[in-house]
Amino acid sequence: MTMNSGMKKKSPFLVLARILILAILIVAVIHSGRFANFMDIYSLVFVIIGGVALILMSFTAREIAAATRSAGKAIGSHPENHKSLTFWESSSRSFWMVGVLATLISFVIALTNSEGGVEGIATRMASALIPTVYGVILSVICFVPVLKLKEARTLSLPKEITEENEKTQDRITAPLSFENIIGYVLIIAIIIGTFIKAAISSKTPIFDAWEWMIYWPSFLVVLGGTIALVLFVGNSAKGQTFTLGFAVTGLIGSLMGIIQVLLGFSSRSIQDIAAAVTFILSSCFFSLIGMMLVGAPLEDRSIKDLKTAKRSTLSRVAWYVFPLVTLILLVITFVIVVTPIKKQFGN
Amino acid sequence: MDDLLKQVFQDDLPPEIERRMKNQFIQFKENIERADQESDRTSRIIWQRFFKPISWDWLRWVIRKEVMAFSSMIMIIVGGFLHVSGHHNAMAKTLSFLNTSVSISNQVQEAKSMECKMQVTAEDGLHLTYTIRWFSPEMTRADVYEGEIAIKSLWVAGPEIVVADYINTTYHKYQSLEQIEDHEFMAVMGFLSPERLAAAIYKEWEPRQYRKNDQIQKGTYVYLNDGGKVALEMTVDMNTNLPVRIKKFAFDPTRTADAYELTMEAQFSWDKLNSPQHLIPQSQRDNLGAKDILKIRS
Repeated sequence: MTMNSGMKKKSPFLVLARILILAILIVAVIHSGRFANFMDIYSLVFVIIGGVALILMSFTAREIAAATRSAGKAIGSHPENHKSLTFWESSSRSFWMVGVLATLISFVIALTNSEGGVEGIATRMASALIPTVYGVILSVICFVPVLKLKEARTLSLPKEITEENEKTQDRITAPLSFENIIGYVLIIAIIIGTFIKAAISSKTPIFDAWEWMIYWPSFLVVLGGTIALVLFVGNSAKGQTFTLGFAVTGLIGSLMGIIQVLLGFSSRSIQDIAAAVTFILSSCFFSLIGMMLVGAPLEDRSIKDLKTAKRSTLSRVAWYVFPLVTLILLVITFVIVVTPIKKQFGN
Repeated sequence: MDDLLKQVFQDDLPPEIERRMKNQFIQFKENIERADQESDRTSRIIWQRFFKPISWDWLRWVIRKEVMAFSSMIMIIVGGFLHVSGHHNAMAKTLSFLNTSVSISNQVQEAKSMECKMQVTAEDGLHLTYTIRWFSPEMTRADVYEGEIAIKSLWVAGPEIVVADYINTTYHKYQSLEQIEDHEFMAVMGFLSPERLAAAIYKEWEPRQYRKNDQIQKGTYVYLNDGGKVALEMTVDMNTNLPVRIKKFAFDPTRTADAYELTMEAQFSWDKLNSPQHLIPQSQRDNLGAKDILKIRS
């Protein structure tokens, strides 16, 4: 692609017309009422703000502006295109992960509110999957520039750049920028704010969602397991080890929980099953939070600062597969809750 | 004209002037770049000062590999121990409660027969006693007693609903339970069929809390209804997941302490083989002839 073709600007009227058509379509969909069940404004706000917060945790405003300007067109130098690709890939991942996190939190909050009886709770638990839909849509939108940039084939960095940067990585540690701090504050604020909102809006809560959020057994197992794995593998500065550590410990915690669920089914003890399910969901929550707050930003910063040549495949697997596992476990939990345990009686 | 311009603006500056001009350009460019990076640099300096090695010396000891490895092992062991030892968690209790409620609702819906004795305190302070029997999911009979005397009976046999008033000796047929106007039956509407009771447990009663007594295999489940104005306490046989007793408490806003007052208590016996002859109330069986029964049944 030549510089001229890359720099070719689209007519502002064309861009405006596209936005207008999209807006009309969205309004028409909302007014049709057919998708009323899929509308949840707070979830949408959570996913958007959460996704933006995760992006801010990894990139500066200038880098975001540069990547947004290029919007998937390989126009700059190799490092610039590399940064742009990193940005869009991280954005795609962030929205996907925030969508699943929002679903997990909504699912737990649905359990705290007894309005409408068991049926009402079950309905709200099912509706908790809506944020994932939002997350997936936004993730796909952000993935389009990634595909375009990859098509441009101008992204592979000269080998000497990455080698030189990898040599100096231990000596230079880039401090967090102001935007990064804002990102961290924003994501923590929106998570805590959601729990506070749930506590205030629920007239007669069955239990306090904070009790689940601060579930010590899962927290200790996930954190301890991750630290042990990071110490064993080493090289934590790039973030890949943390991503993998949180994903693996979350998965181990979930598997332990699943075994306990199966044992609970064999002994027909709903108390054991419920305790195991709580452990599973809480492990998934802490692992997701760890991957989002520690693993992903470290790895993003390492890549954009050219200290790492490319993303680790294992990290990609962790980012995309672990949230999927969490979703599957949520669906299983829903099925467990609404499936009656039959007992024999009578003559 | 062109020649004139070329002559006036010749590209033949003296070397010293040209060097100074170049320096000016370079300086100008540097100033612009410096201004762009100024904000980044300021925050960088603040952070570097904050994170300078001396400030965080104590952290070096904490993040020593040996300490971290030991801490991680302790965390895993303590976490595992807390989980295995049944660490108290409200969410686990709620999940358990919800699943048990679903199971109770399901068991009630699938029940073949039931006999229930109920005592109700009406709003006017009158005490009424009820006997409700389910012969099958679609066949129910409810009797209302004032003292020992049956005053009214209700029959549900498929689509046929009949209310007999023994005081006024009248019979009324209805198409649905909602059409019944006799206020005596309003308090027991939710108990007139397995489907109704199951639906109330699943859709209307809001789970609150529960406690279990493993020794006697009984669990007590508390629900709220009507926006918290009514509290229901259901004692369940954990072997069958069927209610053995339901107590209903109404909120009394006039009282300050112990604001809920008992208004209804029901005792259940499940899957007792009920004879079809129970379709006629015992006290009235002798008074009603076959013709009357046929009238009611038709």
